[in-house]
Amino acid sequence: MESIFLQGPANTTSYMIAGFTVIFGVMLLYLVSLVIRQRNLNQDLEVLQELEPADFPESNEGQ
Amino acid sequence: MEPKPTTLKILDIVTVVLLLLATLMVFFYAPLEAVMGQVQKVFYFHVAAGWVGMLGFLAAAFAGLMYLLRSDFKWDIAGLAAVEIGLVFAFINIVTGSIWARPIWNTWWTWDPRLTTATIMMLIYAAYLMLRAGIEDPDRRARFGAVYAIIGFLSVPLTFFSARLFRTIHPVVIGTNQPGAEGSFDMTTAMLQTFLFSLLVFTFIFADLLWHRIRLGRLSLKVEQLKLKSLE
Repeated sequence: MESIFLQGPANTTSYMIAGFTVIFGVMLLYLVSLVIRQRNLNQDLEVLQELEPADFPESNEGQ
Repeated sequence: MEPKPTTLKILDIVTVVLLLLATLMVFFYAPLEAVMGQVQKVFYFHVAAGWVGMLGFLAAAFAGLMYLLRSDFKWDIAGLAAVEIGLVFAFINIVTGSIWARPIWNTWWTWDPRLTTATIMMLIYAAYLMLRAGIEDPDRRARFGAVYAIIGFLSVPLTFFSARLFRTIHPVVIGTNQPGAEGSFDMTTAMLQTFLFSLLVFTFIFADLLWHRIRLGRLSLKVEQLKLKSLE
């Protein structure tokens, strides 16, 4: 006869997988967004420096 | 773009290694919870993400205060960076909480005081980003951001204490649960160690991301200034 009481932990593996997918997925998306934004800004910076190189001599200096 | 400092490179590596270690601890060191099963493992990063969210909003309030005192744009950049990261982790916290709630509370969502205050907190900071984007004058934008971050921070302690002050089904980790709290559990030593380590690791993630985001903010300011200069 089957017991009506809990025999062991509930089977919640699919929820666990979903949870960790969200955790690592969102963090990865944020990292990708940082990389894309940085790449776009660097491209903008290059264009602006090409427009008037004499005006921005300090732009290539590392800080 | 200024070259990446060596300290930041080291912080990147340390953070990745720590995150890997924390993940291994969650899956192979912390024992399986007797009632909830595997989904309880989400708890370690769920709480840690909530911690980073609140830490980000605290940092933004501090940066706002410093901007109002010093009128230095570096504090505006830091405040924006902290809000953005705080928002990302507050989102992770809320979504993972909802996933955990489905098998434990038998619902994806309930308008419980903790869930409601956490959602309001997130919306307040989402509005911060949207409203900032609508202000063109950098000085006005920075002043607005500073004041908003300070006032908006009121939502953080309200969210934190909501599970302790109001009648709620959301369990608390530190302190006494409300009588109706569902899903609470007694932590073993290994669970507590994993939990505290996860908090530490997510603090490293916050510091690392903040540094990167501040560098991006500085680059963005530089480009904005050059664009204005080229228009003159």
